[in-house]
Amino acid sequence: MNKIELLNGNEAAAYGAMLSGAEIIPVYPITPQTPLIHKISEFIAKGEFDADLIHLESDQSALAAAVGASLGGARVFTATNSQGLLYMAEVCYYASGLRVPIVMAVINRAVSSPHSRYPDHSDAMALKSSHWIQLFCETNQEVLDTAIQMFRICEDRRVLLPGMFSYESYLLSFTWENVEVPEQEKVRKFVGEYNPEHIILDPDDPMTINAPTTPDYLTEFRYKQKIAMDNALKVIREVGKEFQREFGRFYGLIDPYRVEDAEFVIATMGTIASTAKEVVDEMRAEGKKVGVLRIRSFRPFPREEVKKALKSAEAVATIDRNFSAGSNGALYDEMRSALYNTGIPVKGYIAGLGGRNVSKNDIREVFEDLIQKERLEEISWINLRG
Amino acid sequence: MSNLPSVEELPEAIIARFGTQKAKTGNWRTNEIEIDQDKCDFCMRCVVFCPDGAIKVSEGKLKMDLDYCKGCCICIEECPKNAIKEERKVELP
Ligand code: SF4
Ligand code: SF4
Repeated sequence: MNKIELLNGNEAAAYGAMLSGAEIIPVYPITPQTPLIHKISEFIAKGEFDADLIHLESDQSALAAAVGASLGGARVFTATNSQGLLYMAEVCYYASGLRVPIVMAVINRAVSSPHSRYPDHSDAMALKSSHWIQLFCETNQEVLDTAIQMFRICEDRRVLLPGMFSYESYLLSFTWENVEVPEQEKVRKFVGEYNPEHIILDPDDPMTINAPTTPDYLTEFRYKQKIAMDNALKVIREVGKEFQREFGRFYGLIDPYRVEDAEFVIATMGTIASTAKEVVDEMRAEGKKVGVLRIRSFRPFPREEVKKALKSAEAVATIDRNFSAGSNGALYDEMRSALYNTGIPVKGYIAGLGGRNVSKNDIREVFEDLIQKERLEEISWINLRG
Repeated sequence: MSNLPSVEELPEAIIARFGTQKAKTGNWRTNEIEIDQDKCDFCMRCVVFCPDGAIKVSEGKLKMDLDYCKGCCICIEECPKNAIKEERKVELP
């Protein structure tokens, strides 16, 4: 029997790691990730979870230990956010280049300065080119389910890349929701064993790991990561379907909400989508053809799915909880690129930085802009004190 | 480039499925390293310090393994008896 528990996002992620059978968990604490470590420690202390939790002296060392453990053949889980993730940045590229399928929870928090512990996607976005799979969650149930799926996706022979699954600080990490906790036995069966053959530290079968390469090699290895990331599009979908058969809930690359016949669509990630879905219901009742396209998979970015989902759209708005000075929000760039040549205008909004609330009214105004075809193809900052 | 492995032929993350033993560094060498067995008092410093394990002990004598000696001269620096010499083989431009 599956049980329902009242869990916050961190606890849901800890359950995901435990149920999936992570063996080595190297960590360094950082707000708001710390309670996730507390929960894992509790599982281990109670004898419910047979894993080694290793406390390192820094976030960078934590990921380095994760790479080492994964090279040794273990199933590895870790978690971090904001400054911690940026401190890990160098090692992130080692992990993806060495093709070790580490699974990491990223509890999206603004990157200082100014100092902030509030939700913001700019930490994960800074690593969008590190060749990690990046999935973004909307609810605590999705956090738990995604943690489980991540091990399957990353360890798939067609993929073999590390993966981050993200959920926003406070809004999910410290908010309690009813979460269905699947049976351990069922989850272990679903995730299966990790038996690496492609890269493993084995004295009986030595291989040259992280060898210095001449210009004759790096291009081909990078191309192999591209193939792996392309394969991930298929694998994420497959794992989603199989997960649905076993556990009854489906998550894919995108999460379209009343988009089928929608003329005006907001594309966004994480919890802003929840607010937007409520506004869509209200505006639909008023006869307006609006919808929300939540992007769950940012890496790989599902261009074809996005294009297909938006076939009846007249205009699209993106709401980015991140910003790159001198450019745009990350989602805006991806959406414009995906919709290039379709004739669908994309308007970009920056909102929710450093935890600034994004209200139903804010979302409604974005839809009104789209409907009135105002300031299309421009970037607006929501709630900026001008 | 034609005799180099293709994308498909390359494994995921490693150049080759062997240890560094098969990555022979001897062809990096532009000099020749010689050990004067008469000066050597068998202290083993060079054996330990050689980054490529290129100095081997065989029948009570030191033997250079030219497949691996890359000519870095660390052994010369470390030898307390000045028993190792570098002979430049190739003139550098
Ligand atoms: S020159 Fe360098 S590589 Fe060659 S034997 Fe001496 S220490 Fe070893
Ligand atoms: S360091 Fe010099 S003296 Fe010592 S073993 Fe090597 S060659 Fe001989």
